Amino acid sequence: MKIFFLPSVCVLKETLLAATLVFDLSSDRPVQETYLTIRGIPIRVHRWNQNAEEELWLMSSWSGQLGGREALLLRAHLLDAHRPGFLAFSGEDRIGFRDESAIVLDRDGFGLQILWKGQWKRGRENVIPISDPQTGSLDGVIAIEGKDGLQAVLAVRVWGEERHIALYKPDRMLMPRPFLGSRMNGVEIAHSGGKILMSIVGNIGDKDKAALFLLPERRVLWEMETKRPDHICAAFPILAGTWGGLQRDGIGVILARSAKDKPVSFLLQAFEADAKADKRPALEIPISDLAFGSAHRPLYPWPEARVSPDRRFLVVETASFQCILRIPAQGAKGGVPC
Amino acid sequence: MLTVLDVAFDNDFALVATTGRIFMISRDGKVRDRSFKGTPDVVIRRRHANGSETLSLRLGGALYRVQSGPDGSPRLERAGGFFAGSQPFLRFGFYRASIDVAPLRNVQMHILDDLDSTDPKIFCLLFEDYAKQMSSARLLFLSEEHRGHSYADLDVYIRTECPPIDANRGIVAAAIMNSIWVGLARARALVKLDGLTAEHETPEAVTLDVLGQHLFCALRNHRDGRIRVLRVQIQPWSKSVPPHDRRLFTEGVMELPESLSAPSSKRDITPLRIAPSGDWMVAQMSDILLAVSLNWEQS
Repeated sequence: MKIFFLPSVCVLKETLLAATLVFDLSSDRPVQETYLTIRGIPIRVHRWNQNAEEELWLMSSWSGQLGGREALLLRAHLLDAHRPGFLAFSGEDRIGFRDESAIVLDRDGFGLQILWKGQWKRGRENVIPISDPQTGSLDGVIAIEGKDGLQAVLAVRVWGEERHIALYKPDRMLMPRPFLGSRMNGVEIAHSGGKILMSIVGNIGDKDKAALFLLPERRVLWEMETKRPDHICAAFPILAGTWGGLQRDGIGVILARSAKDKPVSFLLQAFEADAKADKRPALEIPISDLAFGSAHRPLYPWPEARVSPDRRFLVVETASFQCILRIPAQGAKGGVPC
Repeated sequence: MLTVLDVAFDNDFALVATTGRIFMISRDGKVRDRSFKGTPDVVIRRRHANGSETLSLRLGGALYRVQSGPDGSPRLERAGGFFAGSQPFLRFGFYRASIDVAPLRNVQMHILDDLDSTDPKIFCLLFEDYAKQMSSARLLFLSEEHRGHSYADLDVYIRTECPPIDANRGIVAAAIMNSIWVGLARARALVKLDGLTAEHETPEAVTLDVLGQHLFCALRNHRDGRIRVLRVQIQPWSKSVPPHDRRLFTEGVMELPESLSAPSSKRDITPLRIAPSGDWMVAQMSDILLAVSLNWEQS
């Protein structure tokens, strides 16, 4: 499932199944609600000047008359005057951005069209197809707004075990190598001044990697790799001076460890991006305070996880369980240096 | 065993459509019936503002309404107002709402028409065959404003014979898989009512009351086969009280006809539909239809 953070709630949504889980994060004890909703390809939108909040949109598409496609663009929101967890979807024409860029349904219903600065242009760099014989099917989309409007769009594509992320920029579309093997949940964004930091987690075989990028140049600032039994299940970019006492831009990496007959343990390590070759973490915090669910079941297939934008919760999702852990507040205050 | 398509309540009578036969059953249990030729491919249950309901069947492309004849027995009368196109791509519409859908193999449509609500007000369950066991189906919300589009399209796993689904005043309720789900139609989402059914219970009938404030449901216990009926307040739920609160549930008492007062009878009946008034329901016992009184005072 894909994990999203709407204001005060966490939403877990599957592309192909109608089931959606919503956790109310406004309290310290998250409550789970289960919804039946429309199937659709999820679109995560990171806005420029929000408090790191994100939006969840869906592209719902189905076969219509004579093989044609029908499609709807829907935005998830929480119904006013209802309890915080009550999820609703409204139909919309477009996802608009501050520079008049927009994402709309492709005219023939087979994908999404990006209108850079509001311009309709065909071509590979402007169209995100639902299915593509070269790269597989569309699993999710992440749109990143910067100070000057829409900066980049990431399209997550899957074919069996193969995963790619395509990066769309105003003038081109590319499939950068460091983005190989990455999932939608593995991408996190942080803004500062005119720059956008992005962290990506990828899994190829029994190797995991986490990398920190500067967008839109896609310059790699920092990367690490692990092998079993350590598994990188999540990462998040840290802007200098905002979290964990880091004085430079950096990255938080969540390692999951699972030993036989023992509960899964999670460890948060924070690194400064320009640390020297030994790459010792600037901060290490064990995460074991369960707020929802249990982490006693087997950890295979390896879990995916996301850290909430306010860094209070770690939401973990595997094929067999979901759990939410509280991240100790010491991270925000400076933590314990290693 | 009767194949019951749907049950509609009109004051002190219930209209029941089965494959090949229509029934009228009164609250005191008197049953009148009439046979017809053909198998309906569309069943429409309409709910009117005063709480009464009508039932229509499509046979051979034409729509017929189940009505009471001058002699008090039911009959089918030709009715208009509905059209549906031909295969392979099925197009259907009501009022000004219409949609194309890719065909399932052998489409049966079951339509709830919620006349009293704002858009979307047509709820359409598409499935291949009438079945007593749950099977996969599509639940569409149709709106007049979204012509050619469904307002929502949900994949569900539901009993298709007399499907346990209801809509009133913009609220939709259904027994899907082993749970009861409720939602505001305009939200395009249904939330599971946790804590209502026990692990060994399956909901078999779901009805929203006349004002859309309560939900009535019948649950079957798989361990001993017994049925219990619940009245759930959903109004506070829609105003921010979580639905898990047990104080919002009331358990009712079923009063079977005297001829069936043996304790085993409560295990042998299948609840079909509870009346929107909540004070009686129609149940089935092999090929017999029963009127069962529901009492909420003693609990």
